[in-house]
Amino acid sequence: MRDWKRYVRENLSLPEMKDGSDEVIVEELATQLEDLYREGIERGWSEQEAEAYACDHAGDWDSVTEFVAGSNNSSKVSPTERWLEDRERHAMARGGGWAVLAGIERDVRYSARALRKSPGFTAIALATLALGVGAVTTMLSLINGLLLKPLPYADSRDVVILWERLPSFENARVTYPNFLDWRERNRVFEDLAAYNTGSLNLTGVGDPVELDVVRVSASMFSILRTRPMLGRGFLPEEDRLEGDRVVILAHGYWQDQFGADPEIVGNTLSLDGVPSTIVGVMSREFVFPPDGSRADIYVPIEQFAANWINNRGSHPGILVIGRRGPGATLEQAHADLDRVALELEAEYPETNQGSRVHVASLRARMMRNIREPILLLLLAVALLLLIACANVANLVLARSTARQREIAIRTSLGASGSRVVRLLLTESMILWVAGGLLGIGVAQYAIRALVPLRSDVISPIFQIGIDWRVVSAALAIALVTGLVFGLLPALRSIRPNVLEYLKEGSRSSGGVGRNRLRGALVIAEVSLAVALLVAAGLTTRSLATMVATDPGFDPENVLSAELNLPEARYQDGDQRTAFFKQLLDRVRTLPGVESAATTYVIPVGPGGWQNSFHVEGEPPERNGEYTFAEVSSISDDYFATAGIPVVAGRDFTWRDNEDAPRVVIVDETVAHRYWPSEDPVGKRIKWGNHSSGNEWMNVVGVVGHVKVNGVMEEALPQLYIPHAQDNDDGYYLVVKTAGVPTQLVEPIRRAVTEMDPLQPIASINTLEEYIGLSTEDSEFLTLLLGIFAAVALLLAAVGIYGVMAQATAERTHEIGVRMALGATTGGVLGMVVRQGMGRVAIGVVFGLALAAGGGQLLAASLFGVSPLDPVTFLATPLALSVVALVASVVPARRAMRVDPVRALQTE
Amino acid sequence: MFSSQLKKGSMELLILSILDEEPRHGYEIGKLIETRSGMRLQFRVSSLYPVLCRMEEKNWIKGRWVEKAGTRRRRFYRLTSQGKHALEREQETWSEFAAAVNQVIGLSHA
Repeated sequence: MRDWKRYVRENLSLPEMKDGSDEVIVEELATQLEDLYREGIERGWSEQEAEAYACDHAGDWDSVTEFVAGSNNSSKVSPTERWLEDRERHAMARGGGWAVLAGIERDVRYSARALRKSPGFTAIALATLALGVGAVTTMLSLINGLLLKPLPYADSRDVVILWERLPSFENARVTYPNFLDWRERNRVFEDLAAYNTGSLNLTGVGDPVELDVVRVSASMFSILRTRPMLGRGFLPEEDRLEGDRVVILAHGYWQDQFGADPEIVGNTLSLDGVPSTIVGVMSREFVFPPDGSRADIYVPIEQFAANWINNRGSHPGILVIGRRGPGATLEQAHADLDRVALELEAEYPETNQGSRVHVASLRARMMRNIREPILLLLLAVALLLLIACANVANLVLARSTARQREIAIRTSLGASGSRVVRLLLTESMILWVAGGLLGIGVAQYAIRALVPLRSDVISPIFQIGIDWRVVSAALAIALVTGLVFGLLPALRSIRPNVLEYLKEGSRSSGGVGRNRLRGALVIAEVSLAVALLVAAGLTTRSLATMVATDPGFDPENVLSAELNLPEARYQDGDQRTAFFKQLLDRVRTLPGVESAATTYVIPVGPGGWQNSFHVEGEPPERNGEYTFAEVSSISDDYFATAGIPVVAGRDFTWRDNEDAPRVVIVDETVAHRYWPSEDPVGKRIKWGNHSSGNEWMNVVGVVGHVKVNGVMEEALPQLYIPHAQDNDDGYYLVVKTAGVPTQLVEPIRRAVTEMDPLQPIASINTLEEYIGLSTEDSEFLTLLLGIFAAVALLLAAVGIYGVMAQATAERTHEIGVRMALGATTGGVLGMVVRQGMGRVAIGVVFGLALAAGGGQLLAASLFGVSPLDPVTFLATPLALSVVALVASVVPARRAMRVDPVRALQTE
Repeated sequence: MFSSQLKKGSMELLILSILDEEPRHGYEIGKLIETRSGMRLQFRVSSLYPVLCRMEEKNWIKGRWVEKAGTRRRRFYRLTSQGKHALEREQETWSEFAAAVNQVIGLSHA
């Protein structure tokens, strides 16, 4: 015979009771079941039949559990609680606010207990909500940091950033003379400051190192309302060509290099061989430049302006920041700067024709690259949250169906409909708020994991993190969604009240209305999941296309080392050429080196050099328009090293030097554009426009086109000139190796030190690393959307499964009847699955429509894939349908196995 | 067969009348309801128990454990004096209710 006490214990989830009364309850119930069993045996049934008979008479365990837990609690309530309950009862009778409060307090206690008693349900619901709210909260903190939190500069709303617009270049850096004139002539700014970045070689403190330098106008400190933590800022007279050499240390560099020495101000550093006095140290909080570029030291900009101070044609990477004067709007600033630009255009038509000024708030400018991805991701997490909510609503609905008996009892015992709704709603609200709190925890982790991944796009001036705004927004979202999604099942559960329950008896499925609601939730879930899957599918295909696209060069096993020769020691081009030629000779003999070359610009790498050019025989340019090309100055063997095919003509040699005729190598884009049917070799090109006085250069070769800005961006046409005819102080040494390129890092470093012990190497990277950087944006987006889509798919599958399982369980009786009447298993399976898949199909249609609408947001982030890509739009619904099919076949198969006799007995 | 819901409303009355004769234990109570209703009312252990407890709380019935030789111990319930009053009241209410319903649905000859 069965151990009936154990059977009762397994079915009844009772709390431990100190007085052992749980034991007594179990015993009484077990005794009754045993009596029933004996009755069966006495009737001559088999043991199994007798057991089944007793079990059938057990009924609904939840109602006992419910009842016992309730009376257990009330028997142990403290006097205070009893008083509170009395008050409540009293207040209920009178009505009023106190009654509501007391009632809520009681509901919360009751609901918390009910949730604790279904740990499985509670855990799944909480995890689902934590994921949904967590994802949304992560995006909210990002948006909060980007849009709402103040920047780390006082009164940062008035800080603006200015740059130039040229006829041929939408976003150009500023020329120094233009900056000086803007500053002098404007009427709306309190002040303007110029800045750019560069490097200086520090010697005399350990090994020679290259420092990251930010050159700034002295006015920067007052514009940003900041001052050094130690010492002082730059004086206006120091920000002059002949000013005293002074330097201010960034906080990090001060700590790392000088152990945070508080006496450092007044000491001297040797920068590019020039002694410079340390006059200040910035605070830890100070972030400049705003894009988060690394800064070791700050120096006055004009001291380094010898080459540009009188050259309006030179754009040495300068950006300008300013502070709007009191009451001046952005529009006024714009109008005022247009006036200044027109004056300058009239005075300097050669250089300033068509030149205008862009002005934007610092925040807006720093956000420009993230606005669209953020919008897209926000949409994605909102969908995810909705799916999570639909899922939990479904769970709650299923649970309330199971609790219908309890609800009916409550109603019949006099609980009003509103009281039952309030109770169920309280339970949902507890779930949602707890899920929301967990979600905030999830977001905390997610932010810590995600933000550092994209420190290059998300400027450090934005403080991304969870603050009271994010917390209150997250909780508000949890409350609102909880109210909406909790109210649906709560209202549904009183609808089919006692009458309907009476009518349907134990077969109650909760009525047509409930089924319709469940169907709607499944449709919603499927459509949201389809939309997310399409987005993830599109970005994945875009990334795949990107990776598969030929960048025009071969980055495999190529190492690049950046070297900047200081002017103080290498004054003219010949000296620099000699250094690099000798270095190449040394490096080419190193074991493992296949070829080596120098280049001013590396493809996909940082920096670049664009210059205007004019092809002989082309019509003159008009209205200040120029034709631009990407330019690099290279040594021999560069094309072989970088894997760029030479299509026609020849490579450079060292004989292409200052004394030889000027030569140039063009890429296929130039060749096709200007000489589509002629041999480009022998044609002539010069820098500038048709009227420039520059020397003609002979085309000696044609090479393949390179995607210098990464495969996503169309690159300008490219021109190459020989190192020995035109060079600068900074070069990349590129080395193609036979084996693992990083093994050559040390030998190359030694080769440089042997030639010049004071010469540091700025950076060493493989070209593959640079390529990796260029697809990072897409990888990040793909990763995030992929995670969201996977979670969405999982949630949708669980949701469909749950609904199907519930629906078939409720139709057990009907299925039994059908099968008793001779329906085949296949027929029943088809019936059940058809119902589920019908909803899925509707969801898919909605989802595709949603995806097609939202795809426009994605368009800018896609490469080589249309936002309406047919492959994705076909594959996604298929994949989801397969998942949905599995999720509905499993419960359907279970329904099929129902023994018709048993099914009918459930009556 | 009647739904369990219908039974619930009248369960207390049924139990009170059954216990009016003599003290009985849970299984007996349930069985008597079934047999006397001609099997049209069926009982469930899980729904009977809370009703018994609630009635005990209201001091209508009193339960105690009784051990008889050769059998396991069982909890027998008997009617209290308050229970007797309650029975009278419930019977009255029920007949009024039944009469009212009959009148409405046209079964009454009164």
